[in-house]
Amino acid sequence: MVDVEEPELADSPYVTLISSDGLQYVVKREAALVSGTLRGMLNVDSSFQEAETNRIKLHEIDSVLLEKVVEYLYYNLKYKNEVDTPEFEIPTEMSLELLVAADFLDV
Amino acid sequence: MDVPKREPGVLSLHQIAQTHCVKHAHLITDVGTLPYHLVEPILRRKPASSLAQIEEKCPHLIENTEAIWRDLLEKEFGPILPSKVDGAQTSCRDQYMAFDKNREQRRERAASKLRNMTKKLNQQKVQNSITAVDMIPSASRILKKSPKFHSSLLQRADSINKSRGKIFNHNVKFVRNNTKSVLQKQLQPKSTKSFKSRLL
Repeated sequence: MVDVEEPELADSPYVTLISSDGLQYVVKREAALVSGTLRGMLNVDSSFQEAETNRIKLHEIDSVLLEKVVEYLYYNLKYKNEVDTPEFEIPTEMSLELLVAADFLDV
Repeated sequence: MDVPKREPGVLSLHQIAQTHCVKHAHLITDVGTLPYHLVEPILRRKPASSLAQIEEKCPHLIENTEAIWRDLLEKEFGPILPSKVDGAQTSCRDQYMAFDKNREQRRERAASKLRNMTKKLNQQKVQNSITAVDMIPSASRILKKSPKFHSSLLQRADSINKSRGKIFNHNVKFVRNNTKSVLQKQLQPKSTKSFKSRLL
């Protein structure tokens, strides 16, 4: 439960994504909102705990995978209105897991 | 001609990851517990043997892969009518396996036949090969093996050669009994008499 004496927490421009192995990634709210799943979790009207604390625990995604996801979130934010965009490289050994993560996060 | 303008934006991570997986489908041998809707494009790129291996490791996919097996069946064996065994319709997977087994058996039979034919040809080749002998066979044997000529001219020439051979064989015996060797002649001192006196 969020302390009402800290109203700025809910309006923080940053959110924290926590991997299954405990690593925390502080990302811009705008980047996190690229993901449909995270957008739903952070929706103030949803009354989710994540929306109040700005901390999202992702039990299914480990730190290596989450780092790549965060990289994509920023890539999407940067080039979403560009025509000539560089290719987003992903390691072959990670592609299946990324597919699962992308499906879960709706990104 | 106007070049079509590219639309702004980027591909979703889902699209990027799926494209990458499809591109490297040959490297994927197990999909774990991934749901079918995510791996379907990957499975469609796999040959029948790989698909069967993945199904063995991930049985939850079997109930959804009927369409893929049907496409494989039509691609490799042409349009097949659905068959029934004991009243129940056989799955495309089972039909494919049956057709594949049949095809392999036919291939094996053809390969075996070819091997036998090659073996027989090699045996015939060995029998007809040229071999070295220690001594030359005698004339009588050679004469018996003389070829038959279809032309009368060649037959006449052949008979003339045979008769000459007989004549020359007799002359050689006569010459051997009455002449000295070349070496013996050379060693003898030369006569001082003139040619004319020798004739007389």
